[in-house]
Amino acid sequence: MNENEVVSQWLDPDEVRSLAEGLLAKNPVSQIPSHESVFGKDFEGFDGESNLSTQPLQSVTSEPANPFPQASPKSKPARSVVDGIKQSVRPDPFREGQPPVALTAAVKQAAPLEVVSSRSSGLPSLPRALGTFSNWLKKQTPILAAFVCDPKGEIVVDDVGSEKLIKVARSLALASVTMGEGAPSGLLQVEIAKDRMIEILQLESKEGHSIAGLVVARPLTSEALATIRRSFKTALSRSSTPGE
Amino acid sequence: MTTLAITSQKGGVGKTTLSINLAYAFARSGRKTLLVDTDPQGSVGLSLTRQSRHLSGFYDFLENPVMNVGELIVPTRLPTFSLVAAGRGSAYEFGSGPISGNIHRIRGFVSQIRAMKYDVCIFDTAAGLFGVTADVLGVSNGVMVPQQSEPLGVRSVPKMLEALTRMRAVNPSLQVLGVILTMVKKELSESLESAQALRGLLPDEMVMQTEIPRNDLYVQASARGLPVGVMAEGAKTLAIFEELRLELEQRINPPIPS
Repeated sequence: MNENEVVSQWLDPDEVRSLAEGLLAKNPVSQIPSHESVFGKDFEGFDGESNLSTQPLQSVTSEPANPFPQASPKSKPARSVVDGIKQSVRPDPFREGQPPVALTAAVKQAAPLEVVSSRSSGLPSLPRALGTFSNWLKKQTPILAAFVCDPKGEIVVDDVGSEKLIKVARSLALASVTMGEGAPSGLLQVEIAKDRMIEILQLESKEGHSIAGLVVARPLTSEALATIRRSFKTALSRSSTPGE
Repeated sequence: MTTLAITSQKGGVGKTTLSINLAYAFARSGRKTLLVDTDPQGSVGLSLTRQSRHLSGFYDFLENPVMNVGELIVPTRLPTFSLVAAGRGSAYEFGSGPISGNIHRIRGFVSQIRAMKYDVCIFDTAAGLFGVTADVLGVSNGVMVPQQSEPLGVRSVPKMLEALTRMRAVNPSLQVLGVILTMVKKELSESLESAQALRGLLPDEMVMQTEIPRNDLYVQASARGLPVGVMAEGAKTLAIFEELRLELEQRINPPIPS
């Protein structure tokens, strides 16, 4: 067996190289590709777009206060948010009756083929789109954790690990829609610790407003947010295209 | 001061051996060097000091808000080389997220050693990029990743890269200095193929040219509580780590003052 076979049987060399090149860049948050692998090589959605980047924090000190205090029972909620990258998913009554065990599994394993297989799974288009979108989001944006809720409030993706936080975030987002007080961009930002915030995006579809919550260290630029929205729309249009 | 973390997703890849001998190489170059054991197994201390289990160390510092780093520093016979043992604290957390809650205290640790005019601080970490190790990466200038030259090591690369990508979201100034091949066994075809595969897989600038061969001398050095380079038979190995230090210094930005 030669060295190429050693590698290619176990991992995706293109994906690895892309990750490695991103790590070598000086500014990690500007490394989101303008088009990405989840949609396949023929994906056209992001052509010509500039890279995502984050805005500098308003005030950065050399010794910022501890966003996550020493372990104590009181500090658990904040820490559970940042535990978002944890692989395990807690039992959650919010998930009952939710179709996407298979969808969630597909989301966790990012590969173009899985998008194809989920398309043929008979799932309605919105769950498929949210799954594909979430997959892209987690792999290609500088977020620490994310959750995605469908218009019925069911959690499609949760690596934040705080059901309570997700419910509050969704309620805030829906209230802002109802009262017309949301930002023009449909974006809410909630600071959850000294250098952590959740950016809550409303994602419109004919089924209603889905909600994506992104835990980030620094605010995303409007350009980055626009790119994220476009990726959702692309996922939506592709998932509803017959025969795909 | 430059703070370097030696870390990997996978255990048993030679992090402690690399940390000890690289720190020794920096110290020999005249840089005031501190080696900090953040692996709760305490391998650095167990390798270099017979009293390690009685020493307070890094984890005691995390648990005790009034403790000073100066109380923890263990000098060696080489005046430029000191170490901090892992200690007896229990702040190590299993399975936590990208930040464990100790980052502020670790920033304080770094501030104190900077005030002591150290040139280089090397953190030997526990396997896995979570919990306290994630906090260490959150305050480090650079990270180097030892990767064993075996098929399993190569297969674990994507997870390692993904974890580092997440860490760079937390600490955008973290410089990924590179992957270093360890435990290279030239007489074993699978080891050589794995090394070649890793070099083919990753961009050239991500893989260090220097390779650390598998060598019984590391076991012998550990048994005597010494860096390999101190041993009479260690000249060749010393040269490898000196080569690695020089290669690393070309990559570290800003450069370490001479």
